[in-house]
Amino acid sequence: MDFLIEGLLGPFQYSFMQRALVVSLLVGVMCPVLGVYMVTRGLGFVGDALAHSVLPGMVAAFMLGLSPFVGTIPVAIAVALLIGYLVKRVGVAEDTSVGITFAGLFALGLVMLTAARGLPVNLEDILLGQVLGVSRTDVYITLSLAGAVLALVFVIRKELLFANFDPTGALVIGLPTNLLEYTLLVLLSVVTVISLQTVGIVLVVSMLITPAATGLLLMRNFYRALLLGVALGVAAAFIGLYVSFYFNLPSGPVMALLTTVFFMLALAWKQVVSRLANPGRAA
Amino acid sequence: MAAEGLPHRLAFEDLTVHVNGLLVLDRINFEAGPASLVGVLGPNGAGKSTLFNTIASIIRPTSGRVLINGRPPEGERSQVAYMTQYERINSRIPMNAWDVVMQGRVREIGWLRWPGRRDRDIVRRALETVEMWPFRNAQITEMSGGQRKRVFIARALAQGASILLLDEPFSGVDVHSQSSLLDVLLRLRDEGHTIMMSSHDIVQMFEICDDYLPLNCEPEALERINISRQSTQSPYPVEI
Repeated sequence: MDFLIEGLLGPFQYSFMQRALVVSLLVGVMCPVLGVYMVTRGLGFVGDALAHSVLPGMVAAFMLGLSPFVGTIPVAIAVALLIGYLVKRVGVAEDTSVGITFAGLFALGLVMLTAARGLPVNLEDILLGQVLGVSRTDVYITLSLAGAVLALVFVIRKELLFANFDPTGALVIGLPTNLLEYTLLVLLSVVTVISLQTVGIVLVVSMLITPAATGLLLMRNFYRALLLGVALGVAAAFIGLYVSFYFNLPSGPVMALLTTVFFMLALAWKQVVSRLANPGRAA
Repeated sequence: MAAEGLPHRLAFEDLTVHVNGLLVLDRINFEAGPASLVGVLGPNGAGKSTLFNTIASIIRPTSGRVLINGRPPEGERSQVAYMTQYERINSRIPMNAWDVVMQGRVREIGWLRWPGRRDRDIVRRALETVEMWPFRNAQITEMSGGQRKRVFIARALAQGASILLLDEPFSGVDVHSQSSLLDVLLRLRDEGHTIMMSSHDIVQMFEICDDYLPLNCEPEALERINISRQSTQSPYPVEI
């Protein structure tokens, strides 16, 4: 029994693990909450584009000795609004808008990172996340931003869902559908930036899309799908930290891998239930 | 609910609308009272959807005006419901009939609150009115075309709208479902709603509508419509 308790609590006697746990759990909650709105809206990869696009802001912040949040959040919001503008006003297709901003800004970030030698960060940390290295200040910033994001989503949850489900009906009833869409993109940009430290640029999309997609696969109600997505996001963050601690593996990729495992299990479960319900159906 | 004393629930005065610089509606004048079923007739591209979008305040008129209960439509948005075509609905979202109809209450409920007992009662009554209460837990994506349309009509009722705009309500609906959908529309008309609908089935429009608004119809086509109105038993559709 003592062995079990030691095994469970042991990692968290270190303050860096406590900070990592808080930030990871916040990411595990926020990403699926935004993720269900993005996945059902068909904008899952906008999160990926934002994550790559903030690289110049992140490098600039490191060059100026500032917190990465200072550089990345304004860039992410600007990119999110630019994608929204290109899609809604200019008529550029969503995937094209994402591709243009994603590739251009990520390339600029890589050039800046190579040109500015001697920065206290390497490309691998940025790409894969470094949750074990978050500072106390980062924890407070993450807590404040996460609180603000979750509060705002709670306030506009019904309106966002209506505008997502039936944009014309929502417009007719008098909802500010454009404002809601831009708000969703801004929230996504904040959540993406927060998640970068945990899972990194490459894997942020795994926390945004996969738990949400798993919830939507199993549930027949939007809010239940959201709650299941949150439960899976939290589980992936929690278990991922343990696995990375005991097996000396990078925490971000482990968390991303766990979300994929959950999705595959859910898919298998759904297939089994479907077969049992329709035994005569051909494979 | 609209005041019964007003002469016209919905009126267009010299309504002119351009879309992307093209003249779509040219000086339309029309009035519809409570308890009326109005058919909007016209070939594809005649401006039927533009007219509905203008009534619903999605498009602003170039000149002239729309009046709802004698007032500009911007202040009367809760009075207008537009039954969206299913193709424009985001079918990735899991949503049952109850959830869809509850959306009609979204403005009444407000930003922070959850639906209360009054909202739930209104949604239940709306679903009962369109005879969809037994299907309240069914997913909208798993319903037939007619069932979906009835659910969206229920959402309009839950919203408290007195004017229902229906764009091609019978398209994609089987004959039996058309009949039950029509029963619902006639009952709502008799209860005092103003229903404006477009349809390609002109003969059916003649049989059920109280009034007609032709848009960009050729004079010869209107003549054929008048002939057909005098013999509404004609089984042949009238092309316009």
